[in-house]
Amino acid sequence: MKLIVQLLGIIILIPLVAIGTLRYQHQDADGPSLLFPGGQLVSGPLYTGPEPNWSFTENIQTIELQLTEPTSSRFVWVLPVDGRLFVASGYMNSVLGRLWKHWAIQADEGNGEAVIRINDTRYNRQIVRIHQGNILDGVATVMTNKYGSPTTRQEIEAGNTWVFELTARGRQ
Amino acid sequence: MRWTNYLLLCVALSVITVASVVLVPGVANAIETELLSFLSTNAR
Repeated sequence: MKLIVQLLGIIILIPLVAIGTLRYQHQDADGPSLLFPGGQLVSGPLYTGPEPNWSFTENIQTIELQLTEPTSSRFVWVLPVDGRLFVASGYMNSVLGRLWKHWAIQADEGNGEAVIRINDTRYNRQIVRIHQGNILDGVATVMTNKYGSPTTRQEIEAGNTWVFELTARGRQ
Repeated sequence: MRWTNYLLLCVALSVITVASVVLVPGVANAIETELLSFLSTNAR
């Protein structure tokens, strides 16, 4: 019996150590991996022109989103609606969701500065949580149609899905 | 196995695992690929 417990311990220990090491390794990387958050987005030119037409993101599945407080990055779904750019975080009413999507809490409580990278170009943005409003109908529609993730405005307003707009810096 | 020896074995295996992930080229990618494959199959 003792031997079985010890073997089980080793079988659990090695993957945990490997995953922990990978996560630690990625935390300073230039962008996230598919599984682990990354660090500051460094590579790629920084966009400095007029506000882009975000409709080009309709065919892009994920973008890299980096917060500056703390400096960490991850892949997120991108939701262009009426020329405005949104990202979302689901399952926020569940404990697991709040642990898994901790970035959304950091975005809501942080200084609001974010950087996104799309097609290797970086854009400085302000990340602003949208709690209510007619625009959420559009966001829910895009989430449902683009990602097959059925969402309603009511779910967003109830706080199950948190929606953030990525606005130009200095504009809210 | 005595618990003292077992704990030493766990420490040694942890060190070997960390060193493999950090120092051996391709190990980190291989683990991540396997994890991704596992999650995409089982996490629904």
